[in-house]
Amino acid sequence: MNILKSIEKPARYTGGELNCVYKTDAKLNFALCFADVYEVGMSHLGISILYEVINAHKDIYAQRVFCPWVDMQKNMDCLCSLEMQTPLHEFQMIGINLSYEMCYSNVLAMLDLGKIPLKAKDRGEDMPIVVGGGACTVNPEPLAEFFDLFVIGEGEEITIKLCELYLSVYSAEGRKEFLEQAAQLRGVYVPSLYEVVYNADNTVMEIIPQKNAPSKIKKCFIEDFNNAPSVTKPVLPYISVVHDRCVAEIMRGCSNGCRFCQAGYIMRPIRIRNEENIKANIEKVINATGYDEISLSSLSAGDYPNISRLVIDLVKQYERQRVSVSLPSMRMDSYISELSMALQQIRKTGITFAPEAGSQRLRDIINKNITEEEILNTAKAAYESGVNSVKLYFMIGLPYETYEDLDEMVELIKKIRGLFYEIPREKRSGYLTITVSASCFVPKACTAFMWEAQDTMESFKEKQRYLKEKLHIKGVKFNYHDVYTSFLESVFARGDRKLSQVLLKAYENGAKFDAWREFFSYNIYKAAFEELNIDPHFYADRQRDDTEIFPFEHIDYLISKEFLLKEKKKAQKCEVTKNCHEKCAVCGLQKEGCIRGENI
Amino acid sequence: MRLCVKYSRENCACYISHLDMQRTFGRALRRGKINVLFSLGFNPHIRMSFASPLSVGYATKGDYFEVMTQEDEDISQVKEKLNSVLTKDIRIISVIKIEESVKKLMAINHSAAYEINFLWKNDFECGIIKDAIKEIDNKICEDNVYLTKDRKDREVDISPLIYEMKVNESNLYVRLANSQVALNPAVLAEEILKVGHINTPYLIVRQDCFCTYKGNVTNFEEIGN
Repeated sequence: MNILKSIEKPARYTGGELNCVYKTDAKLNFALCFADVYEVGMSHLGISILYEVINAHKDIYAQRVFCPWVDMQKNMDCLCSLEMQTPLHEFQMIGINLSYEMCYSNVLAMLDLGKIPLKAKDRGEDMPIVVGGGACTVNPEPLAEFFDLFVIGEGEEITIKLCELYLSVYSAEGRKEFLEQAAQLRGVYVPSLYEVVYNADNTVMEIIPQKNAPSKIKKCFIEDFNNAPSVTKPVLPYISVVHDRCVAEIMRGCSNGCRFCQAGYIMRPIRIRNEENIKANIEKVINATGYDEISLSSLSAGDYPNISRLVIDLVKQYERQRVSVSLPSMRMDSYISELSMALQQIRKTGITFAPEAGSQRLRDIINKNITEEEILNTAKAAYESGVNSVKLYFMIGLPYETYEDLDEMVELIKKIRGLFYEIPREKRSGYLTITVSASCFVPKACTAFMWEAQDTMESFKEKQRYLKEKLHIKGVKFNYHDVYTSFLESVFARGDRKLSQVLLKAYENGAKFDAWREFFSYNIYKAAFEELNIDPHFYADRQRDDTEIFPFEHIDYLISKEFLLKEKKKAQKCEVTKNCHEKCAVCGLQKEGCIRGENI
Repeated sequence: MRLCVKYSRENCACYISHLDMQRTFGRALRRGKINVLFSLGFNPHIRMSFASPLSVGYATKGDYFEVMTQEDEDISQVKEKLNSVLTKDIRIISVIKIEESVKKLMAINHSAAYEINFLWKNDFECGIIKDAIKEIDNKICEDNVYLTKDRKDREVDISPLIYEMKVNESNLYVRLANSQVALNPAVLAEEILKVGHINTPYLIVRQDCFCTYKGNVTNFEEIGN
């Protein structure tokens, strides 16, 4: 423990927090890993859910493992779990959350620090099964060589099934047999059971399953979300973490169909937790943690039926304990004034909105169905309830974007600002600060824009310069994303198996914590691409043909390719698609029993 | 009602910063369903303050914070309620009622007692450390001044800041100034290692905190009487 004196934030490594689980009689030890530091991993809802779901099973013991910070990496012998200090290589199964592309180098670092061979094919019978899950499994191909299997879709049920299969098969029949049998479970993808054949132009010709593995790996999802177990007793960190609050998942999936949004498509169908269950869960969490904030989580909280009633009830219930309520994902159109007043009751907080694009034309292209009028009305209602800080999220480099769209973005920001000062001084509070964040658009798998070329790095930089100059306005702060990071994200988001070599090379040459600006070095990756003679532009900024076979063609998130192609063509014509609540767009989920289309 | 809470911390809980410790107790009070008073204003906070911040890495057997409750509480129940919702590494030792007229705890600090445990490898290292302590003690007695560098590398005379210093069987007990001018025990520990030309790890455990109350130096628990 003495090493803890010389490193930053030692509490990242001590464990022992309130509500962490100790078991002595489990038959299977499962390492629940997150490839970033403690404070980021402990803020991840998926990790909290899985921790509770897995530990509810008497034979399985989930222990947390996070990526140690660089100072600790240099000083540690072997990466261990927080609960029992079990070395990573002694676990039977390791589940690593893949929530964003820039954590890939940390995945390798964690395996390495845990003394586990990096490549799946080099792992013997005594080594853990390394499982990947989370958002990046829409296209897990760049990581194919490092994982024994991936879970496609939602992990709550399938993780338990996998562990049970392990207990019944692994010790008796061995690793190979376990993997072959696992591949038969819905939602399990064993990359070593698929052979990829390429065309001369490096595009994919064919993906051939072996040993009876299914030709398409269908995602799994929780059908009865309303009654599915959720977080009730989360581990309470001693130190402050990124999201330090009670997170209640009120809804899964999204009905809006924004064409750029991977989460919006892959988390369908829309499933709702009823108010009674939400309130019961929240009460358990507050009693178990003493949190002073409740955050209602979903992709689009405004689409929750009667969100105002839920919020107002919660505000009333927790007022006396000074527990406040927040909504992280509100669309401009749904932020009504009644709700806004309720949210401001306990603590004055700012509001966050994502118009995504500045012009109506471009908002139609991306199918973000909100009008300028709605945006302005909402802003006005928020100001009148006392809000004086606004965060606005935009994307640049969207398909078909022009400089006129950027000009309109600037105009929209000016209008949002102007409205504040139109309100009589006594009705508004102080001065307004607007934080504008412009991210660089990354085309993602399983979206209507997966065929599109990403904007070039030069073009991104030019657009950033342009906006920076135009947004030199008092009270407006302009942030933008690093173009090199966005470029690499784009490479990995639609990349193929050959990128495993690039990742390995980059890791060996020192890539780590790529999501952290102080550590990210594009040059490490650039050198790796050059050395391996792989052209990153082939993946990032190349327009795909409608008929091209994607590297992730065999991963089936239940959204039909025909539907996405239709959406792509509608985008070209600036045509919008209605919210599924209004009209079913036949995305493919109806085959799975989604009933959204039927007059809801 | 104004309460003074004495607590201990050890093991995993030693690595919590002062700010996080405040948050930890704030949440424990909510979990324990103790009706505390909140500050007014846009961002309400529990009306709670600590006598003396504890450095990251130090354990304690006697630290204190005060908190205001909305109504009169049964103080023995407050202790029980809090202990039932805290981890095993943070314990409530006592809860006492204090009068409104008593100054804020942080304003009446006087000194704090510590145990410094040097983790020597063998008797030889132990001897070196004991000799170094003796050397420092002698110099203070003779000269009444002892200059060294503090943790921010400023020169400081530690001799008037050391109220007690004695070697027990396997550790060093000290009582150090802890009011406007305070001495961090790590400064003394580092000086001992420097004098002994040795690099031994050590653990620090705060034993108790003392205050100036009605003209006397007493333990904080006495101010309830």
